Amino acid sequence: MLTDRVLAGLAETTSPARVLTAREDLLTYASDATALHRCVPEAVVIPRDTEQVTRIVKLANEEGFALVPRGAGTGLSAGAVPTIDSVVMLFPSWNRIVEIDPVNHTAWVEPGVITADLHAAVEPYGLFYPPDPGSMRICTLGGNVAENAGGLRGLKYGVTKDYVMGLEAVLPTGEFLTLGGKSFKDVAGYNLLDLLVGSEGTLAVFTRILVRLVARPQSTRTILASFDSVGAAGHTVTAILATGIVPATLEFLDQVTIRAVESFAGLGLPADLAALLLIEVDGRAHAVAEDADAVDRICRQHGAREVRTAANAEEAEDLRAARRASFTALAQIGPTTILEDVAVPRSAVASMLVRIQEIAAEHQVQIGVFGHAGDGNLHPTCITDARDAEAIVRTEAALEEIFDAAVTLGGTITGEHGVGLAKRQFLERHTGDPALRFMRQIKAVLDPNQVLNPGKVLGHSARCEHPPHGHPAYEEALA
Amino acid sequence: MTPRERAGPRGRITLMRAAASGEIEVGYPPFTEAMYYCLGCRACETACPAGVEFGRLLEAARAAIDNSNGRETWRPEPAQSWLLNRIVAHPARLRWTARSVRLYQRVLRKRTRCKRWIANRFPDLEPLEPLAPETPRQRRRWRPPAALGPSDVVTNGDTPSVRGTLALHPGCVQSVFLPDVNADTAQVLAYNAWQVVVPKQFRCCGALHAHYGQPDVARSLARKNIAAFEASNADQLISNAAGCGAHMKAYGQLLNGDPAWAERAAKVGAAVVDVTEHLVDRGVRRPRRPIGLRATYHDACHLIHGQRVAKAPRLLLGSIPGLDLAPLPESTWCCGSAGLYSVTHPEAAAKLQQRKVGHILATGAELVVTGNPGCTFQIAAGLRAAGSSVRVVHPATVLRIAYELPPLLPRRRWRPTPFRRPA
Ligand SMILES: Cc1cc2nc3c(=O)[nH]c(=O)nc-3n(C[C@H](O)[C@H](O)[C@H](O)COP(=O)(O)OP(=O)(O)OC[C@H]3O[C@@H](n4cnc5c(N)ncnc54)[C@H](O)[C@@H]3O)c2cc1C
Ligand code: SF4
Repeated sequence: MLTDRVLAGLAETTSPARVLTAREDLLTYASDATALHRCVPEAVVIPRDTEQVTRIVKLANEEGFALVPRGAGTGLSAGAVPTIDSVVMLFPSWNRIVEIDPVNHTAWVEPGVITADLHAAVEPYGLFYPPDPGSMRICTLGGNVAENAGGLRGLKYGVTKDYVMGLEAVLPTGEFLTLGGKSFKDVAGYNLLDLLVGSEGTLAVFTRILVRLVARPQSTRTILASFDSVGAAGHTVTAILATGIVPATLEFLDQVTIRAVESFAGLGLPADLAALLLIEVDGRAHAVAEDADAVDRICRQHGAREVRTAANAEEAEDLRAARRASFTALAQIGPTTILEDVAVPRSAVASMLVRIQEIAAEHQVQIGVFGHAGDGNLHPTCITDARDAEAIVRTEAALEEIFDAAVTLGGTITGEHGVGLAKRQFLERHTGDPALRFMRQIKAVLDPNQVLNPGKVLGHSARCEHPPHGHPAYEEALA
Repeated sequence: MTPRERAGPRGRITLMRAAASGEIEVGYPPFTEAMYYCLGCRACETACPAGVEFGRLLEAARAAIDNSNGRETWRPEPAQSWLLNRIVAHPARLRWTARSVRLYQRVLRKRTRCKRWIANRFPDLEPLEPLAPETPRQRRRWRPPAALGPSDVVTNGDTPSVRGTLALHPGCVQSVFLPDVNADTAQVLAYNAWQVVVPKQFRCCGALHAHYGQPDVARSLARKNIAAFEASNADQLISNAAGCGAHMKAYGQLLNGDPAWAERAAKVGAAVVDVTEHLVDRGVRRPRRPIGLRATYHDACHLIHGQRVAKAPRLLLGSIPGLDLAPLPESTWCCGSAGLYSVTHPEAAAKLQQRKVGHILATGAELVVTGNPGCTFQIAAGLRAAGSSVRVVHPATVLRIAYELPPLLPRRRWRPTPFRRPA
């Protein structure tokens, strides 16, 4: 429980209207987009400016309560889910795009800016901000930077960290820090910028972000290829990349997903298709035309059943429909959808897919897989029911094996969603000792009082304290 | 409008879950408020990556509140349900109400003493006055002579053979306040070689009752409409009011707990189409008369979010020679009408209305085309308040004019002449 003194202190640093304690408000900040994780915060505070953030953080250090920064709450690793005795910090009105610099191709933004709004704002300048997570219409740049979010264009354009050039942040001790700048190269000292990007709200609160923009590609071509076997699709991916063509998008859908999409959206996809690849090439017009032809040829050579190339923007939208609807369609099948996020080296994508199928069969869990085949980032999506404890146990067992398989194949337990609470125990299991110890030491140095998003990414101690089973929030979700 | 989570769809769903699991009480006033602060515009359904049917959840939550008989809720409950159950559900009574509104608008309002007496006697009515649409004369309900077919409207050249029979649901509010829209719809369909019937037995579709926590009345109205449609032997049920269409399309879900009706309801629900959707899907005759006006199209929430119809009306308008269709910024945003929202939450509704009107005026359009009576009233009232002469019309009306069909009903204020020829 927070003491009245804390609440009074919060109200004094901001204003009474900026501290929410009503039950109906608190309930709505108890979870993010992650299934099964839930914990009602003690209060919600909405700072107005950096000065107020600093004072709130200092207050947290003095009074000993936890602060959980929260963007749009679309995170898929329970990063923004409150912990015991915590105060959620929101940035709803921090949504200004402070500056767009068309000469240096940069933009200063506040952390509450919606990703898609930034896309739209830079468009008139002929520029573009490549990271495009599936949630881009609602997620915030603060959340993107904190999670180092990826997106559909990751293969060619990289992820959020490749586009953060500078940060203004408040450290867990309440100090204000500026990093980086508009200069393209900068090797002065340790690379703190990369340390903070992807820190999942545990090392700093971002108050302003300098992002890099790139010139918008002249033209884009969209291709959809269908395959009778996952292997053929996998070889096609390898073959395309071997020619040196780097598609902006190279997305994959498996049979479970295709069937779900078909029954949801009725796009006329045959039920016996084993895999779909959505490929987009962009760049200069003539190069794009050549690349598109080459991709088309490679798909056919590798036994594609059908290859369709969009003639115009509208047709391209139609081709993207299946990929767009994947998550929606899978979510329709059962009451609870657990979207996972493993990544493996490109060469291991096909083996990973096979392993996932085996694991799904073994544990009798329905798992659809779609994802970014080009960069090896797959999203095995489990359809289950949170009210059925037995099903959840089976799902968890299957997921555990999937993580193990990914690591065995030289991959990782999360490609873009982060560790948060959801995957903390797996991080500990799959990270060797010096690395894990360094992570703990970094957290201890930056945040000696454990005020900023404690318990996320790393447990407080070496042992995992709150395994999902027996966790009050988890039990509550099952009840 | 409010950046708080509980004022958004996800927050509302979280609260519904909390109520369902007993964490908060259904009668808890902030819960009621959160459920009724929503416009029910269903924009969140279009945006939702997980395909959540927010409209259904909202209806269920509102019904639960109504059944809870719990604590005092803030909305003008008895008057509202009285209006919905005793007036709107009965066409004749609704028409009589409209007559008194018309009497007030045309005569009493102009007499200061009378007006003052009414304002003192019924203080609640006063803020509603600017919202009320101009009410046309209520003769008998407009219905085509038994049926309207191609031969009734196609006078130049050969009459095409009939392609099928369609039942037109006239919509309770629409048939009282905008009967010409129904007439125009029937004419346009007939001109495209469809036989149009308007079964006498059609009742209010029940959408308002379902949205405002009266599912039982909604179900009984649905049963009447289903029976009426079946008896008409028509192939499809045409709706030209977005709210009614969206609701009727979901009759199957509304009655899925009733074994005797579930199947029939699902069948009828699947037969419902919006008039613009039907015309575009089944092929439409090209209009010839040029309309040299600049127009813009407002997406009625229940058409775009509730029925996913966005392209069809634009294609139809685009096919009219000379009509300059200007894109409307934020065309998919709710205008604030949202059923009874403009009555229950005037301030929030007014903000949306002004924003909408601002965008419309900025396009320089002379016509706003939209397919829902609620939007028509709300936008027209907003334009009137802004001193603008821009008109709000239904796509069917624009099409009828472009087809050079004389109106079936005597026109009111809007006379389509004079038209500028396109340059
Ligand atoms: C349908 C769907 C599709 C998705 N698709 C993708 C995808 O393609 N690629 C991908 O990478 N992710 C995807 N995600 C996951 C999620 O959208 C991203 O992780 C996103 O970056 C989270 O942003 P948010 O604003 O919602 O942050 P939140 O979920 O609110 O927070 C995420 C983390 O950021 C921290 N945080 C937020 N704001 C700040 C701040 N100002 N300072 C410091 N820390 C902060 C929080 O403490 C938390 O740990 C998807 C999610 C959904 C629901
Ligand atoms: S129906 Fe409209 S107002 Fe209601 S929650 Fe959805 S988007 Fe918001």
